Amino acid sequence: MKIAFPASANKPEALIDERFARCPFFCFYDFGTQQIEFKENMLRNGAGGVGLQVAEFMANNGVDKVLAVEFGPKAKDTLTKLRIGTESITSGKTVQQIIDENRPA
Amino acid sequence: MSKAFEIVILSGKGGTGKTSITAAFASLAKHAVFTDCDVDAADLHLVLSPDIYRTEDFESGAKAIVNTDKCTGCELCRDVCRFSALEFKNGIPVIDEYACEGCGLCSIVCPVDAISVHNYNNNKIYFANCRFGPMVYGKLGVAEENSGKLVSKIRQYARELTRQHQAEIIVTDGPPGIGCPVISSVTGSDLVLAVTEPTMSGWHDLERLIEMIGGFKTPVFVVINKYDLNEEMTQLIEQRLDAMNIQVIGKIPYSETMVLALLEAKTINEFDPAGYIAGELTRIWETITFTIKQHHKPINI
Amino acid sequence: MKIAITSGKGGTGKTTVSTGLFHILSRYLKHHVQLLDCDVEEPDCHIFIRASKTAVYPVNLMIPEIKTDLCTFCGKCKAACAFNAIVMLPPAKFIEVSADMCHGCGACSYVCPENAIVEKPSSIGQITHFDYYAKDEFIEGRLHIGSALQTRVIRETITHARQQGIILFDSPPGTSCPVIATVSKSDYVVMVTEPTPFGLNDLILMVDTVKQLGKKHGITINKAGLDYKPLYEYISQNNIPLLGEIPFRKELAGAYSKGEIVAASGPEIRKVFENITRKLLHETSLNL
Repeated sequence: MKIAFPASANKPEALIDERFARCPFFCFYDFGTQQIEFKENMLRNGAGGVGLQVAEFMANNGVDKVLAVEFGPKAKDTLTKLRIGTESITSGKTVQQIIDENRPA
Repeated sequence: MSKAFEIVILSGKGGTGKTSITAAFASLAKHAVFTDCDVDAADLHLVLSPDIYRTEDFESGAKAIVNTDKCTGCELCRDVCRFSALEFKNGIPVIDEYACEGCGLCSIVCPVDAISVHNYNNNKIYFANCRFGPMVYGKLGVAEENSGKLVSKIRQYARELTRQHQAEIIVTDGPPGIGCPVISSVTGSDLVLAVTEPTMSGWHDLERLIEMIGGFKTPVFVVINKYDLNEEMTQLIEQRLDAMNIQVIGKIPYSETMVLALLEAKTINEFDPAGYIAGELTRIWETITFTIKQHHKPINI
Repeated sequence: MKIAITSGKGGTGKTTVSTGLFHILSRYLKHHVQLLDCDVEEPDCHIFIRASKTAVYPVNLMIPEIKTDLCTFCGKCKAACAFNAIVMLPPAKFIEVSADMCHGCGACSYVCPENAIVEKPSSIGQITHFDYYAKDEFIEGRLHIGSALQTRVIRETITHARQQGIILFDSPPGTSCPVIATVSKSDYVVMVTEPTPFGLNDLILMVDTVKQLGKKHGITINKAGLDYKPLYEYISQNNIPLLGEIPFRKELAGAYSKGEIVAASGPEIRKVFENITRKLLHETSLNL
């Protein structure tokens, strides 16, 4: 199981980003290997259809579930079609907090 | 910290008093950020008189450009263009820049690479402060497009401003109509206030707007402005909205005060704070903020 | 002669002017005239024009559908799509075009080496023809609710006019792409404004747009009565012909609210519209 969520910077103490498709970084966390990985969101400045392309990016990175404060309707639809789960989270938390909350016991 | 609430004021039909009412709300709202998403005829700044501290250029669409030196006149590009944006005049391709949608198919088919697609940045976004709080608004370049994306970007910046200023609410003056900039204004907002007038066209346009918003499941309230211009029509609109389970939360009489306030660049609540209209608008604003907070409580606890 | 009736600001009386011009030209000045409602998001002319429907045509967009059994996931269509409308995930054999993002340009099906893309018509609006007193015609373009492709419906509506006589376009409000789609196909632009700061601000934007497009133009002031000097100063300083002024009267607002053609609601107001129409014909150099 691998989750992903938007981060405002590429470090664990950074706050999560409230935007999904246009955030600066994505944080990936793999429950199996317990590995945390940051990737810059190269798609964020695209002219249009960014939500769709980010959904595809998630699928290509083997993500099972995406957590975000807000999803655009198109991004959410596409994630569902790609069989990726979506879950809402509240803003104001750090990357580390999100990981801790989602770490399996 | 919870997400700020976003209220969008729309009308379907133009000229119903949307901007005057938005401005009145601005003088009533506390901890708010204001946006004008009527990007091709932004007027809110005429009342709020914002001080602009930053201007940003924003993409205004892509257009094909032909290098006529390379062109061999094969006319393949014209044959594939579905927007009738290419014509040959004396063997030279001429692009109708107002019809071109920048899809780039002409450049794909061109056997001699004579066509390229260029992006333009002629739209503007203004960051400002007004006497009621921070404001962000946009302006479309002359004869430019991309209003839907410009609206999305303005709203994105407004959300960022609410975080910086710890604001609780975003008040948006929306565009008329039901097309792409309106869709961009409604997507993800928390409440729509539709301002209408008691005319057959006012009702027709409101009905289409409500149907469009229905697709987003955003709650809608209605205000009937100038309701006394045709009280019979007002009643009819109220009955029909009632049947659709949509609440009319206020009725405002026709009054010259609206224009007189505007001539002094004041909101109606600043111009005539003790007047009937100011009182009614205050009541409407309180209803909106109360409802929106009720509506959101369970999510944010 | 194609004349677009526009207003930067909505609700200034654009439809009042276009239905008025149509009525006067058709009934009193005996011209051959067609009225096209190009305000496809909120088409309102039909409320005022009592005419009989003669035909309805759909406006279609060709939306591609990718056959996954023929697709080899080469990615050429995705690379060709300027609107980022294609999502592709080869391991899952998933490929799809998002109809919301698609402009129907046909680039994907053109580049597909496997002929795996078929295009199917999807309706985005409709065009309705009406007869007006046998000799004249009213044509309405109407966008389907939820579609964002208003300019496509406008362009198609304009192609429905017969190339003869006077053609009036009731334009959408504002100055953005739907307005450009309408005004760029006209020969002359009538700008309707009102004597308020909002009216003037939006008129200036409209004048800039019309000048950019290189169109001849004139102004009609609606709801006249408020002596808002900056508007009149702007008009005279810029040497823009003032075609006429429609006074603000509660009874005219009442006629409008009930769906009556304002120009036909009384002899006095009819005279006002007749004068505007004659001035317009003079400006566009048409002989009576």
